[in-house]
Amino acid sequence: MASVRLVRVRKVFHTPRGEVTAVDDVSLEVRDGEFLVLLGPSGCGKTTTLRMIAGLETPTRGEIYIGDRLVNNLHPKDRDVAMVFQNYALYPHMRVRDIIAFPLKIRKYPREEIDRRVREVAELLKIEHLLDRRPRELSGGEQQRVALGRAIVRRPQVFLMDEPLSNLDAKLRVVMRAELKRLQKSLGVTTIYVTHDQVEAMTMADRIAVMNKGRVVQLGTPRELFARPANTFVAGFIGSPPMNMIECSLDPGRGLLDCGVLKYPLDPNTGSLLQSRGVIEVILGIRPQHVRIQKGEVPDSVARVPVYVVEPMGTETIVNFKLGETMLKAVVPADVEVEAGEVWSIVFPRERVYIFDKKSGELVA
Amino acid sequence: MFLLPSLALLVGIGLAPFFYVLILSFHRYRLTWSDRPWEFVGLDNYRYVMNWERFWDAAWNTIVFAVGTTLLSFAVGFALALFLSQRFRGRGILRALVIIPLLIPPVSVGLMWRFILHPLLGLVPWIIKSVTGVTVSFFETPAMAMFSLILIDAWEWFPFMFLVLLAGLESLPREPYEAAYVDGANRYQIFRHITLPLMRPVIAVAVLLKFLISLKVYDIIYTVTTGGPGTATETLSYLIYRQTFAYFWVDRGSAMALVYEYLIILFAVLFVKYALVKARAG
Ligand SMILES: Nc1ncnc2c1ncn2[C@@H]1O[C@H](COP(=O)(O)OP(=O)(O)OP(=O)(O)O)[C@@H](O)[C@H]1O
Ligand SMILES: [Mg+2]
Repeated sequence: MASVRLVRVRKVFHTPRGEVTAVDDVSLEVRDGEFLVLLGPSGCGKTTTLRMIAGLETPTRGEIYIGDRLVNNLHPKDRDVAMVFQNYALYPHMRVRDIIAFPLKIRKYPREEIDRRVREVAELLKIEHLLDRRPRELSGGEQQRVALGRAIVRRPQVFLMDEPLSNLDAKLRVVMRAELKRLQKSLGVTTIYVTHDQVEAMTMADRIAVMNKGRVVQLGTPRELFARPANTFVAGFIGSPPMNMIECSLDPGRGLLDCGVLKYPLDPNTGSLLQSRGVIEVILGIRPQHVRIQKGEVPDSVARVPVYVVEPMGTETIVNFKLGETMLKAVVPADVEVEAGEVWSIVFPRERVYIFDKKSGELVA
Repeated sequence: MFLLPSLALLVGIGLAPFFYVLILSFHRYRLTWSDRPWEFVGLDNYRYVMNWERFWDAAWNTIVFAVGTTLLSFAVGFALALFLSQRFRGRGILRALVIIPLLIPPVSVGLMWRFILHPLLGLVPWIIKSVTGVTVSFFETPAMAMFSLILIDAWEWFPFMFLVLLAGLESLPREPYEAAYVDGANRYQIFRHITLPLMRPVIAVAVLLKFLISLKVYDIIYTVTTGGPGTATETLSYLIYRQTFAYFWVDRGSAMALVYEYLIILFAVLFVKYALVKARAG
């Protein structure tokens, strides 16, 4: 087992139409045995980062260490990593059995051990009935599980997994999520896992590195990221439904944030903090789960507005209010009876409110 | 209706000569007998050919030659294609150099090598003699003559193999290679488990084509050994040519040509059936 360390890694692709910076100055330390998730939107550089760790791309700048060893100039075969490719990259001419066995076969494992391990892996991934097929005779989700099988059949220093569950149906994905997590913990293999599914990230990760436009914008445990998002990007990416973001401006005279229909009174400390930093235009963030609503009038309400749309979700209900241009969502228990058109009071519990600088997007308070 | 003229043309050009030869093969006829009518003799010509040792010797020579030159040109062409499919400086120039033999007309190739290997005037025997002191004669014994022919033909044809196989190599998908690197395969293992199986259909086609072309060899034999020493390097094409146009036994020549044609078609069918179908199935 080993840690993985990226030091100011950058990757620029030269294309006929100019340069593309896929990964921009990423520094990251993945601890020995840790399950680290790279989370970010499409095109943010997740696959490129993984391919550099695997040795399939050379960093334009920066260093990559596996354990204590600088691996920048090491061939992929000498890095002892196993990878699940986003496009599967199965061997088109082999049967599933031989594809999964391949990493063991070339390491000259004894026949019986190969057979045993292939059987175990196939059972775990529920593909025992597919062992004699070739890749082109498999569905996308089946191919993906074979790709996963080829990686976990071995005990490498590091697992690199590029959206390994993206093509499975919802039910199987939940099962596999748990199985993978359990397997990783029992083997203790350092794992870097790429996904753009925040639920997958939250449920599986020891720590999450959120990426945007080639950079790591925040690194932390799922709990930390949820509780203290460093900026509007992370705040909007993690949590479902996404955090409400309301544009406001500071009114120092009245000690409140003026958000059009909605007025949010600041506590004096926050007010002076904003003033001292010269931050006037802000974004007020609050998660839908934390918005309180009351039918009657309440002294500390930030607004009284009519309900716009009600979306029952089964165990809970999403209530939408229209505040000028933006929509405010509140999640309430299913037994609260709300009708569109009724006027409700909205309350923002003070400890649940995030205030971001509108210009930089960074969390201020 | 509109097809009729073109169909007639097709039959005229394509099939008429075939039927002419077919009919001829059941008659007794020599080119020098222009005033005598054709005499129907049934299967006599075929019987003669089938019992004629020289025909079977030529058939054997043809196969030895075809197998030899196919294997040799494939081995050299594939090795070069593997080498020149890698990325390095000067690759383009080397690729261009490799193709040169393909551009020389076969007759010139034959004559050129006949001089290069000539026992008295040739460069190669002279070099071998100066270095090792041994006198090598490239056309004297039957075995050496056949070996030399195979060498010369393979020299002419390895660029063809090279081009076909290089095109095949360059069109292979990249993903299986990346997966194999990460899985820890070394160069030999990648060649053995990835490149070779993925290249099988291309290899099958290239080898089949070259083999069938080699069965028809004529020009090299004519320019280099004229079938000699004796009839040791006489191939079927060359034997048929000699019978028909040197000795004017057109009837026997026709019979041989047809037997020969069936043999080639048989080979082609067998090959397509086994090599290609199996290659596709992986
Ligand atoms: N070989 C390449 N040549 C040029 N540009 C590339 C290459 N590979 C990736 N890129 C660019 O680099 C950026 C990052 O790509 P990457 O594949 O790492 O994204 P990703 O985060 O994995 O996205 P997704 O979630 O869609 O898989 C993209 O803008 C992409 O267009
Ligand atoms: Mg990707």
